[in-house]
Amino acid sequence: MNEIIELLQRKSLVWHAKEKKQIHDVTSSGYNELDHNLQGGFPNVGVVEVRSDIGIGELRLLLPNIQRQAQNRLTVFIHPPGFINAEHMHNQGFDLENILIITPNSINEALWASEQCLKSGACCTVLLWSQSLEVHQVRRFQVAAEQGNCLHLLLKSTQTNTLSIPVSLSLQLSPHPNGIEVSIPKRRGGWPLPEFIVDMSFNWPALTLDKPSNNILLFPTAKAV
Amino acid sequence: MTLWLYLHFPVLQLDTLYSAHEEEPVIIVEAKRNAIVQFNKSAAMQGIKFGMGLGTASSLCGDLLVYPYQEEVEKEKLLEIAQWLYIITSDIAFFEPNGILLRVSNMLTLYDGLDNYWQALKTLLTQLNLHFHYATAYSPLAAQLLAQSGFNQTTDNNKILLSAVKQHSLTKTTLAPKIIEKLNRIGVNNLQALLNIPIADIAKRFDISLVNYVGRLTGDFQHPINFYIPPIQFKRRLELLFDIENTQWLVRPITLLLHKLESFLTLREQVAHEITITLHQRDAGNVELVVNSAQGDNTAKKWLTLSSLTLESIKIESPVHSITLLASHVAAKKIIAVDLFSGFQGNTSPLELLSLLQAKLGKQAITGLTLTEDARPELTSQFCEPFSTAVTLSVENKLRPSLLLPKPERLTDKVSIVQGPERIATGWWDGHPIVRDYFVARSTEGRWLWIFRNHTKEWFLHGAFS
Repeated sequence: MNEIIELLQRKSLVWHAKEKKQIHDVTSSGYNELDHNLQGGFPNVGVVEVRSDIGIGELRLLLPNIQRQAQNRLTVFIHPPGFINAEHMHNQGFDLENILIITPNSINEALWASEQCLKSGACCTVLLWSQSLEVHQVRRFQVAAEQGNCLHLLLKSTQTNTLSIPVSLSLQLSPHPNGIEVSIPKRRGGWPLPEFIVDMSFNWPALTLDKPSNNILLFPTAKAV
Repeated sequence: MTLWLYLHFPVLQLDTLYSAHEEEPVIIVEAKRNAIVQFNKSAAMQGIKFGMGLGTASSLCGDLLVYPYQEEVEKEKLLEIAQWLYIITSDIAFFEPNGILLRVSNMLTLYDGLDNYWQALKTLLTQLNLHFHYATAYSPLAAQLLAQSGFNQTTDNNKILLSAVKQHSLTKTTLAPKIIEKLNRIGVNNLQALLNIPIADIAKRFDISLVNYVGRLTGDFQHPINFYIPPIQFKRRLELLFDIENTQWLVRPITLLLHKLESFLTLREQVAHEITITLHQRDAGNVELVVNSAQGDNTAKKWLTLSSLTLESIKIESPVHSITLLASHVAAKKIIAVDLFSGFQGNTSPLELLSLLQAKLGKQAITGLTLTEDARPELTSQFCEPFSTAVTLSVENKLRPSLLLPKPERLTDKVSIVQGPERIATGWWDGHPIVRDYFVARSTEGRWLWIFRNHTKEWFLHGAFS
């Protein structure tokens, strides 16, 4: 019995309430529904996994939070699936000086670069697009992120295997006409959450299908005399 | 009269060799004469002597390491010594290939006497780990003569110096053998006898070169000397005792060079932004490594981290026999002021991080973002050197995708158009005109795309509102 517990502990598959690490501060994500469900917003430090297809609005969901945290520290994009558009970043209120884009030649270089950025302390957020990550690699990221006081966002496609990796928070995103449908399969110190919808119609009115209904004016009908 | 100090380095080339094993006998042979000119202690223990032929030497000792004598190596080393000594003494002249002359007289006021001056000089010299002989005299030639014969004293007493000079036989001097023979015939065998002859008599009987020599030896004649002016750049070459094939092993000799760089930079209150390490290969061309530090560093430790990262990415085709280190960009050291109250501070600055990344991934892998005034979407957002973003223009807040494709691709997805069109027709002035109607569209899978139709009614995908 004891052996099994030890084994489980060693593989850190057991969560002890007493070992609860100091909960880092959170920063608002900029979306009320998300803030509500995450009890305040995204963590400031740690590894956050985001499973999503490209183009459904995943960056638009994450960027307001990154922008709030930045405070003259760097935002690093590693191996993005396209060119990051300066115009968009500028519109979102980013200081373009503090953006670095890394296009590594191999997956190993990408991993190395993100670890260096994480632990440097010069970066605020590191976004890494990578499909397959192993448990030990994520654990290294976690340590590096704590060391450098940095948030690591791992962006993956939804098709990849859903092996559990030791992240602080895991988000699963799927498209929704009104914004994004988010489910939280895993988060540290909390229960998984079922799907909820993040309404983007306020931030991105042009990129939602159902317009908010409160701006509909009734056609003036002739008043009954 | 001016006092001079001559430093003679008898085994200079031997001292420059980078050796991991001090115990092995090493000799340096002058190929033309087939004579041994330099050897180390363990070779001397085996019975090696100056002027021996290579055959005799190898019969005395089986496992000799033999190197050809190279005058250039010694000259280069002399330059390095001069750079080093320039810290404490001003007038330095070369007596190639293995001597350095210092003008002492005008340094004495600063150091308050010859002894202090010599102590300062000696401390510096011992740090170089070189074998040397030294002597002072009131003329360059006399100092050279004394130092080469191992006088190893510093004194400003002219009597002692003169009597020491007079003891030497003519063969030790730099006089031509012909003149020495002539002098021998009239019974002049040593300098004592030569200096006893009045200079007017010498002039009558011998040609002008001997007169000049005697005049310069006694200090009566001026000896024209070109003094050394230090270069601004740091450049050192290290010969390896063994050829190295493994790039991992190159780290140690490179560390030696980096430490020299560090002392060079520290003394001048400078930092290097770029260093070039040249690996000279035995049977192939040179390999050049350019290592950058965006912030500028002067410590060997930091440069070593950066260089070893760069070393990882290169391949050497054939063994490396020597290494050159050149500090290609140096600048004055800047103090980075950090505010105590500005909150969190990492232990690495952004520029340091940048150099680290560039060293490993290559310079082209890391870019920054910048905005331009061009209306063509592919030119509005551009990559630039990191941290070199131009002053941001006030850009109209237009709906633009967060991700752009490197090149517009033919639209293959089924989409429904949500917004548009936005016509962009521009670029006629530089030969890359575009006429496009942009639309925001949503694909059936729910992706928000930025698509356009060109003037020939073809549809392309240009970005995603990711």
